[in-house]
Formats: sequence, C-alpha cells, structure tokens
Amino acid sequence: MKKPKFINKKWLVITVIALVLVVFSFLNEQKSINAQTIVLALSLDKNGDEYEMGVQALKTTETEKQEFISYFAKGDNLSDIIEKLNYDTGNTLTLCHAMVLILGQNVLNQDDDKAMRFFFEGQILCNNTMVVAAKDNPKDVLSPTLTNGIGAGYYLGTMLRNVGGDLGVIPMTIKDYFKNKFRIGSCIYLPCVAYKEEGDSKYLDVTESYISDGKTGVILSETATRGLSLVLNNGVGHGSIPFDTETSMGEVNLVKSSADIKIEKTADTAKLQIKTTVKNKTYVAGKINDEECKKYVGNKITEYVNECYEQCKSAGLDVFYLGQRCYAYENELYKDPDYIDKIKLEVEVKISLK
Amino acid sequence: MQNKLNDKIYNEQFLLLAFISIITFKVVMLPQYFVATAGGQSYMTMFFLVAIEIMMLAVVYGITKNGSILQLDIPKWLKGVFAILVFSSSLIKSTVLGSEGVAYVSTSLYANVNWSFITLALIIACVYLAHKGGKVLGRTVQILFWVMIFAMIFYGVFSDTKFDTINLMPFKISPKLAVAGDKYLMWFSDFTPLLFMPVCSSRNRKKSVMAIWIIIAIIAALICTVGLMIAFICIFGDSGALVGNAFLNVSSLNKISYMIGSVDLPTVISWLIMFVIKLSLLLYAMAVCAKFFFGNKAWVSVVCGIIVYAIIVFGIGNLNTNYALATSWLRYFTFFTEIGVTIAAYIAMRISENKKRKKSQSSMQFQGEAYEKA
Repeated sequence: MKKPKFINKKWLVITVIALVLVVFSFLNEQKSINAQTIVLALSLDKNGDEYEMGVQALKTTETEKQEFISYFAKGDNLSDIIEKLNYDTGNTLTLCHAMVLILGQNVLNQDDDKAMRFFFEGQILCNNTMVVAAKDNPKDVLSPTLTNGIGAGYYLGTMLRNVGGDLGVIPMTIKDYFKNKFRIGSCIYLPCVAYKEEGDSKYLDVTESYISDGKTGVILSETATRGLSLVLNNGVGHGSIPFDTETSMGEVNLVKSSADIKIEKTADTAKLQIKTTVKNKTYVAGKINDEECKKYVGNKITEYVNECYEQCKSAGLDVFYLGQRCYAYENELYKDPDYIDKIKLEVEVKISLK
Repeated sequence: MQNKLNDKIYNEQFLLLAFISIITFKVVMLPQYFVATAGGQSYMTMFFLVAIEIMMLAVVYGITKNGSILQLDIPKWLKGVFAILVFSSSLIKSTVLGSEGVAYVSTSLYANVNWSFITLALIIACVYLAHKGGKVLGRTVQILFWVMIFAMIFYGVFSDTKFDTINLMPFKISPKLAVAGDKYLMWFSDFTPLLFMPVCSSRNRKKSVMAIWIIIAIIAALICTVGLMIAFICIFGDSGALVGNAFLNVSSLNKISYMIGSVDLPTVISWLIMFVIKLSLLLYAMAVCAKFFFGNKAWVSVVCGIIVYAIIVFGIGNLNTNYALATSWLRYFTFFTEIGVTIAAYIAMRISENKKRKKSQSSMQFQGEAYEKA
C-alpha cells in the first residue's frame, strides 16, 4: 500500500520561491530610483573642525530643460552632513555615481585623510571617482553654471575623463589617490582647478597641479605641471611644446612620451630617462633643423621636469616617489628622514622625430 | 546511466568543483588581509599555499576515484572519526567563510541590507543543493560555469587598469610572509567535502583531453588566485589594506563604466554562483557526515542549514567578529583537520585496497586448488 503524500513536491518548491520573494520584498533599504538623488559631483572643505560639503545633482524639469542644482551643508562629521543633505533634497543621496570630488586645500593638509578614508573605505564613492584640488574655495568650483549651460562640477567630471593622455594635468582617481598616499613620502598630485569669469565667459581653469603630502602643499605652475605629466603619466600622447629659436618659431606636436626612474642599490643618484617622440613640422613655418629641434625640445622638457622637481623638493615633497623607488631597488636611503635632500636627480631626455 | 546509478560525479565535474573550492574565498577579503599583513610581496604566500592546496586535491582525487571515504573498507569507528572531524571543520568554514559571502552580497548587490534576509535566501538554496547530493552539485556547476566564463571574458575585454609593477618590488622573502600565511590559514585547504564525491570517468572523454583540462584548470586556478593578488597589488599598492572585495574592486575598473555607469553585475553574479556552489559543498559535507550517524533523512540537511544560519546571523553578524573568529585558534583546527583527514583517508584507502587484493588473491588460490582437486 502506498503511503499517503502529505507534501506535494511541486507546491513545496513554489512555497519556498514565494517565501524567498516575500523575504526580499521586506528589504526596505532598496528604495525606488525616484526616491534617490543621484549626485554628479561633490565638494568638501574644512574650517577648523567643521566640514562643509556640497553636492551637485541634475534635475530634469517638465520642459525637459536640464537644471543643475547644488546643495551645501556643514557639520562635524560626514555622516551627519549626508543626513542633513538627505533632508534638504527630500531624497536619499546616492554618491556612488559622483564623477568628481573637489577638495579644499585644508582638507588635503589638515584632515589627516579622515574624510577621504570615509569615502574610500566605506565604498561611498566609486574607485574611479576623480579627485581634484580647488585653487580657492571648492564651493565656487562646484556650484556655478558655465557659459555652455552645464554645471561646473559635472563638466569637470566629464572633462577629466577625456584628458588622460594630454600633456598637462594628470587626472587622479580616488583609488590612485590612496595608492600614492600609501607610498613612502605620502605625496599626491591632483589637478588644481580655479573658476574664472571674464566678461560673459564663465569657465574652469585646469592647467595647474596641486601637490601635497598631507601636511604641506604647493601649486605647480602650468609648465611645472607639464614636467610632472612627462614623468608620471606614461600614457601622454597629445600636446604641444613651444619652439622658439633664432631661425624658426612655433610649436611642435608631442606624439608619445614615457619615463622611467631607476636608482641603484648603492647609488645616491636617481636616473630619470624620458623618451619622447614629436612631430617636427606641425606649427613651425618653413623647414626646421632636426638636430636643433631635438636639442631645443630636449632642453625644454628638462626645464619643465626640473622646475617641477625643484619646486616640490624645496617644500619637502617627494613628488617622483624616489623614496619608494629606493625601497623597491633595495637602496637604504629611504630610511633617512631627509632622503629627499640626499638623492640627486639626473634627467636624460631622448627625443625622436616623426 | 552508470553514473546515475552509482551517484558518482564525472571527472570534469570534480575538476570544476575543485576549481571553485580553491578560488571562491581567496578572491574576496583575503587579498586585503594579506596586503595589510605582508604588503606587496604577499602574492608569494598566496602562491605557496595555493600550490599546497592543488597538490592535496590531487590526493583527494586519488581517493575519490575509489569511492567516498565513507564507502571505503575501513573500520566503522574510523569512518565515524572522519565524519566528526569533517563535520566540525565544514561547520566552521561554512559559518566563517559563509558570513564573508553574506557580507559581500549585502554590500555589493544591496545598500547594507540586514544579514538575516540574505542568509535565509542563500541557505535555502544551498541546503536544497546539499540535500540533493554530489551529482546535482556537479551538474549545477557544469551549467553555471558558463556564466562565470562569460564574466571573465567580459572583464578581459573591457578591463581598463594600469598595472604599477613597482608595487610588487622588492622581490625578496621576508618573515612577514610567514606571518600572513599563518594568520590566514582559515582561507586555505578547502578540500575535504570532495572526499564524499566518488568520481568516475566519462565514457566519451579521452584521457589525453582530460589531462589538458586538468592543466588548464590548474593554470586558471593560479591566475584567479595568485594572478588576482598580483593585479590587486599593482592596482592598489599598499592601500589595498583598505580595499575589501578584491574580485569586485579589480573588475569594476573597466572602460565602459564611464559610459554607462557601474557594470559590476557580471562579476557579482559569477562570484555569487561560486559562493552558492561552495557553501552547498560545505553543507553537503556536513549533511553527509551527520547522515552517517542519523540516517539518510531530509531533516538532517535542514538542521545543518539551520545551525549554519543561526551561527551566521546570531553568532557572527558582522565582518569584524568574522575576522576575529577566522584568525583565532580555529584556523589551526580546520587547516590540520583538512590535511590530516585527507592523508589519513589516503592511508586507509591503501590499506583497504591491500586487504581487498589479498582477499581476492586468496579466493583465487582457493578456487584454483578446488579446481585442481576436482
């Protein structure tokens, strides 16, 4: 005789699936996208112990006109500030889509990375969120609407994604910020951004760099920023170098450039070798002498690099990570607290024409 | 058909299960812990311990070719000892490593959801798979493997990472590597559940083809563990000490994330599949061991699931407690149990084989004598 079946297998499986679905519907943290404010860019500054954070979001109105709105809040800790901003916006802030974080110089030099760790360790921001330093107040870089009608913060985020191979500022993600922070010397380099108004024109100036080790910071000029780019950005493939000799004048186009720094185990000199390819006829009137061009461009690049290195060295900043390179090549010099003064930098530039 | 009748899994299914066993928990939190302890050279420790694990899996394969350890011709009390040891080791691993998986799901798919819901959903699926047995697990892994392959191809094609090899230097062995190896033993030696999966050869699979697949699986396992560790160090440097969920963080850096936003989903899903298989495997080992004492009943598997659920949700509850447990003395217990049981099972199998051979020899001799007399 067959045993009576108390449980039908099919219904058991359906019940289990229904149970799982019901359980997941209780996950009230999963709010609808309508209840979220997607932050495109954010700014952070610090005055004493008080942070000031700003967020920029996009609002699409009924007329389908895009409107960039910025909200600001102050507080002792970032969790409270985010709560305040949630209240102000009437929605839950979603920061993980933010394209750029604009930092005030006080945050970079006085905060001991507390705020940055909050964003990075807590995975509040994405690994590829860009980080920049504001030349003046970060609030002024985030909130204005530029001449092209786009919010400055959002524009900055999109622009930085397209300048990775240019001879100029080096875009820095939050992931790379921390990678550099954990190196010997703790030096970081960020694009330095200033908001400018000239007549009716409102724009962002992103030609300089900001270097900091968490205590001291310096702003590198446009030419020193080029030097930084030629040494630390191995993907440089666009840009021009001014060319000005007795016989011809103009610009030469940079095709590609790469750099390598080596320091031997027992040496006190770091050898920096830069290999650059340029097009020699781009904007130069008439025919130029190839050898003269090579020499001129080589000297110009050495000048850029030295300007960058000396400016940082005088502020005690190990911008080229010479300490880390000593450690990597088992040179004991990095153990000396004043190693930056004891290591000499020898620059060699090889130019080829295309 | 033979496979169906004997409840055996095929060689290739064993290979896939072994591959998942090796890599699943070594690609989430372990890279972060390793970098925090041993810095940029920690990939060497990973290589050393993974190599040991692969060698031990070869021993496990040698045993399971002759059947599950509970089917061996050895004293029942010895089987009981094996069952108790494997049950406790699998219980510890399924709760400690299981909570790591729950934390992964609750932070990568949701915005910090309560663990109890996630654990419940996962445990129900895993208990079902575990109860169904090795054959269902083997078939499931064969089907879902293609999702993992898709995720890896997706990552390979769209990956956008700059490897900074200076982070790996200097190439030297330091005492820190041994400290890291000792501290994180819990994440290694996950092979005893496979001792309960008798293996048979597929009829239409040539031996030479199988050998190639074994080589591919070993290389893939090394790429997914040591290779990922190297990539993680090159990308994050020493700041990797702040970066959890290595697999997710490395793969989230891709070209199209700028265009269409975050595209972590293939990675999240592929790891989730590995996690479900791995947790099911651990629950399967627990259930088989418990059934050795309590009989082949469905409620035994359910009780195992309830125990694991209760420990994860009420006992552990967060990653800090989980870390403290994983790095406590329990790590020695699980590591040496896994290795000890495997070696003891191998010895027992050889003794059992010798016994069988002697028996068959003496019976043949007896038959021969009887034939001569006749």
